Amino acid sequence: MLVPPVSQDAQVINNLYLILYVFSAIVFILVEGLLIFSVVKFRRRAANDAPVQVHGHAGLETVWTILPMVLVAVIFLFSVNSMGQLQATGTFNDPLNHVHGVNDQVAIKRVSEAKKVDVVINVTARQWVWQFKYADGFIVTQELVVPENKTVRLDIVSADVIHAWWVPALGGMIYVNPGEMSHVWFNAPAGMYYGQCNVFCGLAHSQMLSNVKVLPQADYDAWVAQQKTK
Amino acid sequence: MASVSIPVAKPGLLSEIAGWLTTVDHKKIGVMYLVSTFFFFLLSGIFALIIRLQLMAPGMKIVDQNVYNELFTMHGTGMIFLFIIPMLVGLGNYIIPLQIGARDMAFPRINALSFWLLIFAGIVMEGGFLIGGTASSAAWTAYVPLSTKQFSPQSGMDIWLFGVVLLGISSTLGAVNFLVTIYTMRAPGMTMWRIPIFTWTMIVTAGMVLLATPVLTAALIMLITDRNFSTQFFTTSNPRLWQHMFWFYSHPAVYIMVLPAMGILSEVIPVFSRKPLFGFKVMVLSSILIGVLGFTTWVHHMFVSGVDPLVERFFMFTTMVIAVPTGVKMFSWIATMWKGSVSLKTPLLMCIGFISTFVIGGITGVIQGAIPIDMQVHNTYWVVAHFHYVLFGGSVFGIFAGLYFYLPKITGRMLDDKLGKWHFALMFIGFNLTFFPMHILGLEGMPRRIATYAADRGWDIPNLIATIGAFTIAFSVLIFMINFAIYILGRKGEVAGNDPWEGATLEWATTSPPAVYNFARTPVVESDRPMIELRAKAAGAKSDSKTSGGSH
Repeated sequence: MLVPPVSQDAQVINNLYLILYVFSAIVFILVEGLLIFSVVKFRRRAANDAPVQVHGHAGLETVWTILPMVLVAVIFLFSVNSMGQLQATGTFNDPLNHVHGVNDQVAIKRVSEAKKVDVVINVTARQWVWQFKYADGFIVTQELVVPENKTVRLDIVSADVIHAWWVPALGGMIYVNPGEMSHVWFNAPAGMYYGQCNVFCGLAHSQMLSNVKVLPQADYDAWVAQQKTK
Repeated sequence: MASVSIPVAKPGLLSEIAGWLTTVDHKKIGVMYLVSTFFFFLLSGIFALIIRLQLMAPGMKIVDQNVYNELFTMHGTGMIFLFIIPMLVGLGNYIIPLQIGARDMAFPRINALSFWLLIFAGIVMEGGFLIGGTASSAAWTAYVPLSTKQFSPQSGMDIWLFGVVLLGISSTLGAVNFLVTIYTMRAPGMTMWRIPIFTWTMIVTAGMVLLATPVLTAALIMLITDRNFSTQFFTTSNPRLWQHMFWFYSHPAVYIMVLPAMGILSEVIPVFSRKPLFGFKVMVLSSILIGVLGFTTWVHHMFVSGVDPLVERFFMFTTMVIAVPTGVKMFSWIATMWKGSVSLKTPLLMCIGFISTFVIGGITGVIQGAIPIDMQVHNTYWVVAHFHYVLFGGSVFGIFAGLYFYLPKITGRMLDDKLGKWHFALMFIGFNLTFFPMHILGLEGMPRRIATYAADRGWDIPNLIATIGAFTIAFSVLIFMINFAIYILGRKGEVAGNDPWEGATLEWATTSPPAVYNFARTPVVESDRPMIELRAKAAGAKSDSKTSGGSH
């Protein structure tokens, strides 16, 4: 039911979601089933019903303490495993690499060495627009245009309040805090992917779109050439 | 002992009003809490209806986006600070001294002060609408720097902050009062393990309020001075400092809102199943565990705001673990009904509403506690769905269970059960219609707190369903109000008598409504269900007086 994932990260998240969905369904059916059964089966039939006064059962209480703990531990391990996969793709929200002070040169060097990328775009978030500054010097707003199947890195800063970068199909939501720089990596096939600011940032928050248009390389080159002549 | 008439002159209307305004009686204060917080429930509910109208279809312009931002800010703060928390405090105020066999709270005047601070704070917070229509519009989280003078210059923001400070003082005073009352004023024989479960949950809740609220109050005062006296607490420091201080209160606040409701369930379910609460001690311990663990999960609100990954893993673990004591409660409630004699009256139906919806809120809580999932659902409508399943599916159903259960004690009249069932059925359907589709909206990428959305996003149908559901809830609440107006205010309801439900705790030993002094003689407690013995004694006395002895 998630937005169809197109990036590797979104795929990892989607897989974890499906696993947890199965666990959830089991717990849901168990609890609701027991609830409905006990309400229907044991409803009062006579005004003077006098049920046996049971105060508890140590064994049962232990079982329904231990079993959820095991379940939670399993879910925790699945989640940690997914985090490892996200880290391997380079996009995991690891603030040691991915959120740091704007002028933290050590962190910037670490980020640039962390993963080989094809395109780097400087992004500035401000109330209520995303600005994309390309290596060739031109700036566009509202819609990010990138080439297909290329690894893209966004270096994002905020000019005012906290914003959040998020394109659901590409995964990798991250806050953009004033005074800090956040990074997002992705690699996507051609297509149009919707996104918008995901932290309430004031009056026109709902209009702060961050759509991503991924073009085939030839179209992208033509688009860049056109932007440069503007 | 139905009619003990003492000849007194009927007081005039003015002295009657003056009596309410100056009262220090915990019962009158409790009633005033219930009435005023219900008013804030209606007000915040109307804000929600306007929000739902605006989102009913793409591109709607029912209100301007600045008004929309004020509405969701005031809907959230109103429901949390002016309805759920103080409504439960109000029920506690009325019931707890009765439940422990006391004559009043330990500090009656401080009790009155807590109440009047709440009213004052409510007027101050909502007052932003009156001074030029500039209520706070920075969301209930009031994240810095959006909430600083530079980005939220309106005075409504200042008075909102000031109002929340007053509320913090009010609930801190209330917490001290509850703890001292329960510690010092229990009836003879009421040992720790004989304290009723609702009172136990209020002990844990009051402890949480005492530890958590001062942190929020400090943060609010720091922000007020930042805004008005050029201090630099938040403006030059780590952007996460506010978030840490805010969530250090606001995550425990979830349990402050849910634990007393769980306490109500733990009172109602045994009574309507004619069985003792299954695993009483485990229920008490799980409440305490929730109270302790509740302080260790706040960073899960900040998984994508740039926190150290090792720290994040710790908070992911605690977030998932807190589901365990909650699960224990769910199973214990079901086990209480198991092989019982379950009477499907409205209070119990509300409890079933709680269990069946809260389980969804609990499951989604664990799922979004997984950091990778949180990276995809944080701040989306999925989260809105999740916490409404906790705070409406949980707290609000619990509050209505408490109201249907205790209003006969408070007013002396029974509500109509048929209307109550209609209320429950429509609220249950409306609730699920409103909030279940929000899970889907969140997964489809709809962020929360957006004033409108474009038609090409495909969010129309779930939003339309949610709006229909919201008006269904509103209609069900209207039924409750009609029920209350006819059967309680109009005195058409059956006379409740001391003990309409075969209760187990001391509040059912006195008259409905109780006299000013609560109990003519302080009761002596011999077990964790004193009313069972008292009823047996009364029945014994009755059958002794009859020579036939043919009691059932």
